[in-house]
Amino acid sequence: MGEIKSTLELVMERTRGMVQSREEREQDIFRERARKAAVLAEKHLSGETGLAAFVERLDALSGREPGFDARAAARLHLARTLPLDGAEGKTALAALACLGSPHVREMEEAMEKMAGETEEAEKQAEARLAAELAGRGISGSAAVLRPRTDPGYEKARAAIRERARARIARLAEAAGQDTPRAGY
Amino acid sequence: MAGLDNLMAFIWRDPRANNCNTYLIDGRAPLLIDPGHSAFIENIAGRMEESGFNLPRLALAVCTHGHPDHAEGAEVLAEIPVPVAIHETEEPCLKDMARLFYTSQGQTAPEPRFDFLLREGDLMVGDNTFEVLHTPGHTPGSICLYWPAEKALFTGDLLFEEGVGRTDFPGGDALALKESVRRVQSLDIEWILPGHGEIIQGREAVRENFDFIGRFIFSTM
Repeated sequence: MGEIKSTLELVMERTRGMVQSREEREQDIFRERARKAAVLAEKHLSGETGLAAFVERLDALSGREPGFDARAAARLHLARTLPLDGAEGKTALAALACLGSPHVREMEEAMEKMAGETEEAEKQAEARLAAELAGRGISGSAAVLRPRTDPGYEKARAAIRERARARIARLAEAAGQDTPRAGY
Repeated sequence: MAGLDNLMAFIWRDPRANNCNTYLIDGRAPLLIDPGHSAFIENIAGRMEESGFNLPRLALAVCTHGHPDHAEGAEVLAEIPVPVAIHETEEPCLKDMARLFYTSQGQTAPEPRFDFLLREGDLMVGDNTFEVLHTPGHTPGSICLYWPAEKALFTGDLLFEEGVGRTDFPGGDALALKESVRRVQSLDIEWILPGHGEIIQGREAVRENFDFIGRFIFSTM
């Protein structure tokens, strides 16, 4: 006759010996803290909190979690997920500067280079489209060309962004190495 | 057609043939105005071939607006490929408001690819110069093509013989349509080449048509 076991008994039986090491537990705690810092960073990027409030909350998080550098965790998150253009990109760079990131200028340069190359690719695509239409006998002020829908432009833009993303990723990792236990 | 030697007009009289008027201006860079429904392109192409013209020779197709009876065939032309253009206001409308139009007609909304967009200004196609006029009302991005050299106006669905385009579809605007009609009325026109119905020929007939619209159509809108 079989023994009837409660769910709790089954769980206890099957998890016997499954004990988290001290190191694993510390990593879990750190990941959770870093996640909190990342959430604060995202709230700042979305405009929900201003820069001063963002920094204040990071410092409060550090205060609540002894040994945790919330500013460093936020720096790493912002650098890794840096929006490559638009207002969010500028917001992220300003936040990184405020948080003392050593690579802000290089990130700015990477983004400026990307913007310049993208603009140039767009001009080239526009010239190519205008030449194609002219070849068909079409021209005039009424024609609004759309270089951004040109497959050649899309390919060039993707390559430019990939290069910028790789450069910024290297800077982010360098920032991570500069920051003890900031990796997550 | 007397007076417009390079123009071929495919006037809608048979619902099995097309559902709008399609115009072809032949020449060094042939221009097609309003390809019509996709299903009827073959018919239009056949009639062109009878006149010794084939679609791949087209330099450009212009849609006066995005309704399917005028612009659906753009997807067929794009495959040839023939560049297709529409007003810059109309394309975004096609992606949202016109979707309602298609579904209300029990049709699936196509996603035509427009190679470039149009705005107010000159459009040179081969040896012919046209003026693109933004004439909203029937749709937000409706245009008329004015051909000054021939004093001809391609009106799309802005106005017809003794009528104007409907304004009860999504994006329609009766006040804007009236304003657009008044605007083109000031042009020097001897030919009205509408999107549906018969061509109006002669300065006097054109004037009478505008008078009729002003007196009897506008008052009902």
